[in-house]
Parts: sequence; C-alpha cells; structure tokens
Amino acid sequence: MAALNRLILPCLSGPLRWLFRDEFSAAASAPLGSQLPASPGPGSWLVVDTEARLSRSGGSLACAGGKAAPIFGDPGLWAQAVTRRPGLALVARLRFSSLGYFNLGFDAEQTGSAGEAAFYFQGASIYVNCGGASVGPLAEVAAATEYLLAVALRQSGAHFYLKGGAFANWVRLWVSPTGSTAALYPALSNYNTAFTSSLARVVALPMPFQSDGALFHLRLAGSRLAGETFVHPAGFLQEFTVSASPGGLAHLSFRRQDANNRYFLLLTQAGDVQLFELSNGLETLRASGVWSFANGERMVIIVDGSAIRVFAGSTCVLSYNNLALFPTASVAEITSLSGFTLSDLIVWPRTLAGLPAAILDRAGA
Amino acid sequence: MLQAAQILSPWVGAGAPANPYRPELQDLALPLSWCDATGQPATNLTPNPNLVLLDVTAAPAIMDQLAADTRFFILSVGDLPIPPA
Repeated sequence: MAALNRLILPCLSGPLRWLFRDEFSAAASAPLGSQLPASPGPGSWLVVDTEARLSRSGGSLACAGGKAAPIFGDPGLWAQAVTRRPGLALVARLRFSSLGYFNLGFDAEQTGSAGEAAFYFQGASIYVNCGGASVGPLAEVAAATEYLLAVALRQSGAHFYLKGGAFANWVRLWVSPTGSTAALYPALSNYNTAFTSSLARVVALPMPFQSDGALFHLRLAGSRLAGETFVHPAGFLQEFTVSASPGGLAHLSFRRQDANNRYFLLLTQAGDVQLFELSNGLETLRASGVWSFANGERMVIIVDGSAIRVFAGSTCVLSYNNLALFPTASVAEITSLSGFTLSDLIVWPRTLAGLPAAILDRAGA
Repeated sequence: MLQAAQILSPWVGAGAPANPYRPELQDLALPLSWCDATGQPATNLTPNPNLVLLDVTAAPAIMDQLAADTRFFILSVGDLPIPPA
C-alpha cells in the first residue's frame, strides 16, 4: 500500500503541467483578431473568423455559428504546435446551443477540419477523426448540456474520453492506433454549430496515461485459441486483429452466463457480422451487418449498458440497442474459430474509475 | 450514398441453432445492415401479428428491392447525410 501511495499521491496532488491554458477569462468582442492570447495562459490562438462569429466574455468563448456558407475552420482556433508524446492531452469544456458539425482535438495543420486526433460532432452523434479517417458513431450528445472532453495522445493514435450529460463518469469512447504526426496543433474547428467553451487546456498527463499497459483491462498477445475465456468489465471496448481463409468463421461470446445463456457474435470471412442472443437455449438473431473482410483488419466491439457497436477498421458494421439480458455476466469466450485467426486481443474498460478518472477531473476542473 | 429505413418484417425460424429466430428479411442475403428495434423477448416469438420492426441501412437499389417485396413494409426511408470533410 505504501508503494502504491508513492505512485498515486503525487499524481493526485502534484501540479499538472500546462503547455497551453485558456479559461477565457479576459473579455474580447467580435471580431477577435487573428492572434488571441490565452488567459491566463500560457499560449495564444491563431484565429480564423471572417464573419465575426467568435467572442469571449463571462469566462467563456462563444461561437454564434458558422459562416453563411459554412466551411470547416472558419471560425476556427488553433494553438501553437505541441510535440506528440504519450499522455499529452487536450482537455476542454463544451456546451452546444445548437448541434451541427464541429471538431475539437489535435490537427496536423492550422486550417480546415481537425483530422489527426479529434472529436467530430455530427449533429447529436459523436465521431472521432483519427489519422484522417472518421470513426463512429460512438455516442450521443445533447444541446444545452456541458461536456468535458479529453483527447490523450498515444505514441501512435489517441484515447478519446467524455464526461457530462448522460455520462456521469468519464467514458472511453475510442482508442485509436492511427496517426503519428509529431507536430500537432490543438484546435477548435467549427462548421455550423453554436457553442460555448469555458476551458481549453493542453496538459502533460501523468501516469497511467503515458502507458497503454497501465490503462487496459487485459491484453492477450499473439494468436488466440478457441475455448479461451476471460473476464470483461461491465462496459468494455474489445479490439483484436483478424485474418481468415475462405469459408472461415469466428464465434465470440460475451456476457456469458452459461452455454445456453449468452450473447455471441459470428464473424465470417465472407463478410457477415451477426449478433445472436441465446436465452435458455433459444437462439435469436438480433442484428446483422456486412463488411469487406480484409486480413489484418483491426476489429473493435464496444459494449455499454444495453448497446453494442462493432467496428471493422473505422467502419461501424453492426449496432444494437437492446442488450437486455445477462447484465451482470462478465465472462467472454472465444467459443470457436474455424479457418479464422484472432490475435492481439485487448480489452479496455469503458468507464474510467479511480486514479485515471481523478486525473482527468483535475485536468478539467 | 446509403439510406436508412424502418421496415416491418415477419419473424421466421424456431429458436434452434440451425434455425434461429430471425427476421425473414435476413433470408434474402442482401448486402444490408439491420438491427431489431424492439428487443422483444425470445419467449414471446413469434408474435401475432408476426412482425418485427427493423432499423435498416442499405443502398437505394436494395431499398427499392425491399419495397417491391410484399412480405415487407417500409415505414420510413431517407438518405443518410454526407458529413462535410
């Protein structure tokens, strides 16, 4: 316990190091001008706002909407470049007064949409941009609700976290392996939303955010075998790499109570992904999708409450919102593999608790 | 371009591994994605009338094919928005 305290206490009580900090405490009317010092700092924004939509007052940045003919990045704000390293995070508070299209995160340039590691709001749906590709939908947001958002960089890719509204605790929306640009610009890039933000900070998060190994629930490296079981958190993101020969298929169970009571996914090399419910031996197909199977594809299963989404690469290939059974069952099983290889399986907790949640709370306080 | 639709389909099957309960639409083996919007318990299958509401995503040509099939009822259909890049 003493050793644990030596690790944890400095993370909770030591100073967080801000590379950029704007709490929008200095008022400024529209138009803001092309350079806007952060308050209290350090840092400043490069501002693009040809139709004077941005202003700063009452401790908030306010955006009255997009241009009459909307384009991404006008209005937009970009801070100075930071250098990618694990644990470096952009943390922001955001409240939409009208939903639309909006980016917040790290950009590889100071123009247009933020594509390197950024949230991409599409109406009520949250997507993320990773290395130029959009992934989603991952969750839903509501107008007139304040959210805390955090994009924490990895060596390649990023973690995306959200808290607020229906999400009482920090949730891990996505873990991206994509994108390795070194010089990144923290960015707010609007298309047509109206929003306020009371905080935008770039912070070097301490451990465990600097190491994936300190954040995941479990990792099973190498090729996996049929019959393997493991315990998953109530809500989880499970990722793995697939390859298969023609006719190959995989049968993966979760929330497994016993052999006759569980959910399972059937993945086929032919391009089917199907969700079955097995209840007291009664088998029901609840959802089905299609995908372009590719050897080496990284697949992700997200289970949260009554919802499941399955992604192949960046594409959502299956979703279902009525996972009503076995809510407390926590066993996953690689039930069968036939002509199908599944490797490097990682399970991430959907909800953050303990030290990681406390650190993000501090970064957004 | 993809479209999203809400479609009524009959259930078929017997709840057995070789013949699971499934919407009849699944048996067409078309390139589309769907999910059961109702979550009706398996013990209540099949209902009377025998219909399940599905959220379906497919290309317009597939939607046209489903619209022409008298086993299915399309309640609503619309184009999915193309987000700005």
